[in-house]
Amino acid sequence: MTTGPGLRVLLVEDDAAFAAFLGLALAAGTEPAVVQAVSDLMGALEQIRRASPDAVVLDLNLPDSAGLATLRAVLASAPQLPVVVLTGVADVEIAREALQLGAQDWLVKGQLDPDVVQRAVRYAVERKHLTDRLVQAQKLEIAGRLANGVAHEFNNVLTAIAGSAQLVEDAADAEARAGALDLLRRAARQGIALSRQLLSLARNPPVNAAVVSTAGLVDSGRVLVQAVLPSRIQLEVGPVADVPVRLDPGQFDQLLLNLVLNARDAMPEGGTLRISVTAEPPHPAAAESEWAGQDPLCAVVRVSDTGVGIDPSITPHLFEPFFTTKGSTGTGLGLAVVAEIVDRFGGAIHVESRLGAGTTVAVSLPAASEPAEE
Amino acid sequence: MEEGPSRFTVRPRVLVVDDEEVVRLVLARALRLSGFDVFEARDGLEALARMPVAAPDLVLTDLNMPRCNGEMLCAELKRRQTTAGVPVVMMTGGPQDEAHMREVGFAAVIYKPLPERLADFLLSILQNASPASRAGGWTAAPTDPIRQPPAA
Repeated sequence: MTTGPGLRVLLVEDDAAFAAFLGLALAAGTEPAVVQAVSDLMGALEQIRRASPDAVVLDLNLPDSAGLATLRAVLASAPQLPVVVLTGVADVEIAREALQLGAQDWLVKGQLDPDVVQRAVRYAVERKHLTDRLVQAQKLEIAGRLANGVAHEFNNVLTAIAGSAQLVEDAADAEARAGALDLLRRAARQGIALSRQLLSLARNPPVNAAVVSTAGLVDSGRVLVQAVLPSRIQLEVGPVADVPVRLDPGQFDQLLLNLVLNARDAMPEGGTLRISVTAEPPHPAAAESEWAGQDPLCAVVRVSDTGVGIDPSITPHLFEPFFTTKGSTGTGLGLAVVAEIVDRFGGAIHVESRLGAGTTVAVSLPAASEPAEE
Repeated sequence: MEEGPSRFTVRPRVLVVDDEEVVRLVLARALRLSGFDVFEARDGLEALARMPVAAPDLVLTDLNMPRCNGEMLCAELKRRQTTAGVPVVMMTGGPQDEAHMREVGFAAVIYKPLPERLADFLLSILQNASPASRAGGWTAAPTDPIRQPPAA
């Protein structure tokens, strides 16, 4: 745990005098923090990359960035990082929005004493750890629901491997042997892809966010998606726009599988499940300030089903932890975790449903300004 | 390799139905080597469309497939007078309700990874397919070829 003495706190504040006050406040008391201060967003992003602080205290208005765009930039570069934002007395609305975006807390400038500052940062770290553990714990639920389908898939792969090994042994000539070896390699590659996806899903702690392509994410996630779908449900994938996004691929798998499992459960009699990705302008709420202007696109991942639909009366509760319509077979954590993951990557989530006609969940993720890594 | 099965004067015809291409290709190749004439289909619908040309002596089908799965395929084959006598063997990656599958009309359920002597097993099913059963009375398999799932 990093909640013991010596939290490493990055202080981002361009007012030198106020920065000095905060620095002293954080470094004082019975559990002094190790404080590093920078005065602009570029410096903050650089320090987050280099020094991986335990928490950030962030002024939203800096020389090179203003308003919630500052917070978005910090969260996009480090979704796991607890952030406490600094606001003015009149900025309650901005503070609320900051919490929705994923900040842990806010402090009002001019109303601070050292104890309040210390407590806010420590609680921010503590809360963030708890949600991290929730997201991780929910993976166990997913893993349990995957086990049956994955065993099926592995048995397919093993059938092909054992069968083609026999073909190699029985090959009458070099050409037949080469053909059998080719089948053997293909089967092995499928097994490797499957185990890679499982490991990516299970990874703990999550890797730092990387820039990855949406097409690659959907392509590699498909193997697990296929494993959880019974044959009465038709999987259709596409169109899939290739947009670079910054996130942890394992958490994306978790998000996708949660949505797919919900879609599956909504179609007990079968139906069609469609996964698509489109490049779209950002949601109006996210399109503000100069920072948003640099990344004019969002990748919108949609998971649609032709199932029973969602009763409008329960729509407001969909993302509440422990809210479930599945009785004892559901934990009610799936969509809560989806919302948490979407928050981490600076995204937004939107549900459209008609009773008896089906549901579409759209997750929009901000496009990264740099190309996807390998 | 020994020559084709002695019981048959012509090569027995089998239709292999699986949406996993590599599984289908491996099975098709192995069964050809064992003396079968092999036809392939990627799902139940394709299998139904191939039936008139392939005219198989036996259908070996995966269960979980898009569009038309193995259970639907078997039920449809049993419903059609022209194909009701063709034994249908299901292959699957996990435990199944075998009593139900027998009701649907499957002659046998085998579990992936498949037994090494798959060809011999399929031949035994063909040899057990008496003229009476070919006429449509397929509910009682003579020697209970249903395999048990591997122990957990």
